[in-house]
Amino acid sequence: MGAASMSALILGLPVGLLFGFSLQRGRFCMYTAFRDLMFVRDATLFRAYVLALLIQTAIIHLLAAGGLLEIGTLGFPWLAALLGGLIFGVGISLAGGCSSGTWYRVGEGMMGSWLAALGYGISVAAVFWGPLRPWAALLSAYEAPQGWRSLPGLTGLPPGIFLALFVAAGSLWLWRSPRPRVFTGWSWPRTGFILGLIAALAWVASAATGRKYGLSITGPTGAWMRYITAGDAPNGDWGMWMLLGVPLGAFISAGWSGEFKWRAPDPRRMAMQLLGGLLMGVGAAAAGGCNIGHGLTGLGALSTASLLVVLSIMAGIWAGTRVFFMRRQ
Amino acid sequence: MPTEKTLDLRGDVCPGPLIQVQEAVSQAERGDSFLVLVDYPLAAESIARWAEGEGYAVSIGQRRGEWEIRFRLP
Repeated sequence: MGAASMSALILGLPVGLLFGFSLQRGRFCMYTAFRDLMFVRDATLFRAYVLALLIQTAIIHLLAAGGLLEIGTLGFPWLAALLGGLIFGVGISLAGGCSSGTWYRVGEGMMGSWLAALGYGISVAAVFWGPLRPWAALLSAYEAPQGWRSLPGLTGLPPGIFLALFVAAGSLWLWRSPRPRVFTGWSWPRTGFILGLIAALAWVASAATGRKYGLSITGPTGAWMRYITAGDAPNGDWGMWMLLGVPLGAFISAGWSGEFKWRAPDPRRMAMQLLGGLLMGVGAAAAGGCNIGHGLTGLGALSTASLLVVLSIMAGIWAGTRVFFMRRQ
Repeated sequence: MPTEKTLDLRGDVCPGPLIQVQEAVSQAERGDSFLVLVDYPLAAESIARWAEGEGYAVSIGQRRGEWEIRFRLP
């Protein structure tokens, strides 16, 4: 192991362990967060997400303002973001969890999530390096004007003003939000606060290895598949070690609290989870990220593509949940 | 006559358990009580939170990766 991958291990694995541990304690899942918001009118998990987003956003932009961190801007391939987000949203409805949710449940002993993660990895590789590559390239050829790439650019507001409004509006809403009784695990304020700190830590830790991004799941999932099957993994180091930490951290958390158990739904549900995993990979790889890479990291970097991906994921969840789970009503 | 209904949802994953509990409750009578068994941590939390939000008295117990949620319709 060279010095570069050794530093990626030391800087990546602990972040992943913390991330997986906290996801398991907080029962944090963005599929459930968005679904509860739309179908049950329960914003508890969504609040954890918004709090994590605000904490991370505030920290990384303060660090950037102090010259301590570089925040790269993403492109805005609108068609890829729109379609990829939709496919991913339908996929996570079937898989029973978002990309971070699927990976932490691997560490809880849920065999359906093992299948979903496997399908996810295979189809990410199929889009990045395999037969679906031309299709993804076709989608990403539709780029919006360069000035629309960042949300401040799109709205015409100076970045500092946009950030202040974004953080203030979000904080006000959260401040006035109810704090329901917690039966198991962490409350939403604790989950959101800790995940926000971990997301900011990810930017700093990966910057030390030369990577200019925060938490991401899709790239590293594909990179593991590529490494296992082809022996190389371009630009994968930090993210791969971080991702490995997610199921391990969740395993430690679940084992520690007596929640680890090998379990599996019926075969039909497991087949749906495998299909969901395959759709997740196709959608996330086409969109250039999932609920974490776009929903947390990219949106924190104020990229417009990430906002569109999040909205498309929500539309996909709405459609997927209605079609596959609510037919009897 | 109030009855106790048992829903064994062990093995199932989101969004199945909460939807099944909601459907069973919508067909129940006043005073009926429920015992829901799940082994999916998030489902335990979301079912208990939903039931409490509906105004039912909820209690929850855990052993080795499984949860028992009890509540009664007023």
